[in-house]
Amino acid sequence: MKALCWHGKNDIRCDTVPDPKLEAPSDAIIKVTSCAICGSDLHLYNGFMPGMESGDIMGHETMGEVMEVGSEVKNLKVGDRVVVPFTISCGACFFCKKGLFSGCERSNPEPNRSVASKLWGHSPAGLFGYTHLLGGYAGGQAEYLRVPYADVGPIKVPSHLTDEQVLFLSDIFPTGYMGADFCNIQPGDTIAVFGCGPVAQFSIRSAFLLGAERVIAIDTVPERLALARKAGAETIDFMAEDVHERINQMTHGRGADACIDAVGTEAAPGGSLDSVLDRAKQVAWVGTDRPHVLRQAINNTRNGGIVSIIGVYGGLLDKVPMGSAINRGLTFKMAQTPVQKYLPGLLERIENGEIDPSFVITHSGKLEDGPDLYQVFREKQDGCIKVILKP
Amino acid sequence: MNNDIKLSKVLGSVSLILGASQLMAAERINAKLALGIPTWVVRLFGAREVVSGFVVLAHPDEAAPIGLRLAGDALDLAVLGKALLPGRRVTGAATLAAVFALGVTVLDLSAGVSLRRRRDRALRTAQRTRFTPATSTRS
Repeated sequence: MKALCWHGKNDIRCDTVPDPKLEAPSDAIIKVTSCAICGSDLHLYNGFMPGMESGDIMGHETMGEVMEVGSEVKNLKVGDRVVVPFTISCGACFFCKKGLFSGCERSNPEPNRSVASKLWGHSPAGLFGYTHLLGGYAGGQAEYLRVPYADVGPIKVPSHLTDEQVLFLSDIFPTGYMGADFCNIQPGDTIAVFGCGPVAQFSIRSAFLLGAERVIAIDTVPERLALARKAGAETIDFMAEDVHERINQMTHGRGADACIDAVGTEAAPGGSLDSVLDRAKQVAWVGTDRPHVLRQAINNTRNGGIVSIIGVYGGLLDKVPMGSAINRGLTFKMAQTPVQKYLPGLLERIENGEIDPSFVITHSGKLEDGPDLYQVFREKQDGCIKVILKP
Repeated sequence: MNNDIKLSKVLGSVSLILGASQLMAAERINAKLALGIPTWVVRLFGAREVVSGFVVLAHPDEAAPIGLRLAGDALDLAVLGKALLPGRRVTGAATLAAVFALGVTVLDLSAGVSLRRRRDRALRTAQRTRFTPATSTRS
């Protein structure tokens, strides 16, 4: 089969690789009909996440048709049309039973589990196509995908909805929604969303769905700011305005009730000295992440407010203003999304017409276009916000 | 496949090694080449190589950092070329360095051109694959 494979920093190729096979009785094989390039795939593409090996198949936003099921799979049958969550969860362990699917203690087996535990204290769940630290599972930017624990993850989707409407249930819609859900939104609340990438766009819309009165969206890319405004957000261009000053002006000098960091480790180096220093440290291999946006999110949250972190960080963050957080009583909420927890409710919202997730797509190509579209997506060229691929 | 990125990474690594050598052994290199320039200039060239090495390795799929290297190549060739002018005492090491610099310049040019082509091709792909709701599919 064809698949997009990682071959080192900035080097993604469309290779021919062996087809996946059932490896456990709880597995299923799906024929991928649509997959997407995620912003967090760019962290791998740009070489900022450890644990990738040459030839690893990329991708964790995938949907398709069930081709084969293992003997223990009860909920799926051949021919079902499914969306596959990016988190791999057994459904039976201590964490899965609590709904903390992204903390599954079985889906990241040894020896990867021990390595992840050394780095992060304990191991989270395995993820599709996202390093050997997180299971080393083949990803879904391919013609076929093996889905472990197939009774727990994939959700069947109705035939009247297009791939474009349901594909993002695999990651960015639940992740964006979780970012807003973390904010415990009350009537009259103002939510600041840092970043206007695809996940942030879902956070903006989810914040309104959950009752926010105002959403302030911060970015510098014109088409992304325009898309945020289309959803009803007020926008701040961080290259043109002082973000702290503007948010204070908009919130009676208090700060936002909650701030969502939808950027993570690769904050754009520009507009502030600390972001440039973060980049310099990363280039010189003396820093792992660029937490400029996290610093901003903390400093722009009102006293007693919530900082919701859905942008991905990988390592040890430098100069995060914990003094501000402690002295002003902020609450931090963050996670890799327990997608399975959110899926039924969000599918219902799509079916009810409350949101059509296809609004975020700007480019749709074949798998062979993947290497070029990775570059275009990273460079934000040609108005690129979200890329989907049709194997 | 993707040999341009591999070449770019090799050139970035060469820059780092060469620059570190120039910084650490500036006096020895200067004596060997006998170019008649102060040692601090060799160190300056070394620092430039290290910076361009980091920049190329940080962006191995972009042509612009290779442009930075080409500017450095031009400077290297100018200094070495001056030393090889008729009437000057030419050491074997200086001749070898000039040949090496010329070879590296050719490689830099080749990498720069193919990375520029890669970028143009990616843009053409982007234009061809723009999404319109009419292209939505039900699998």
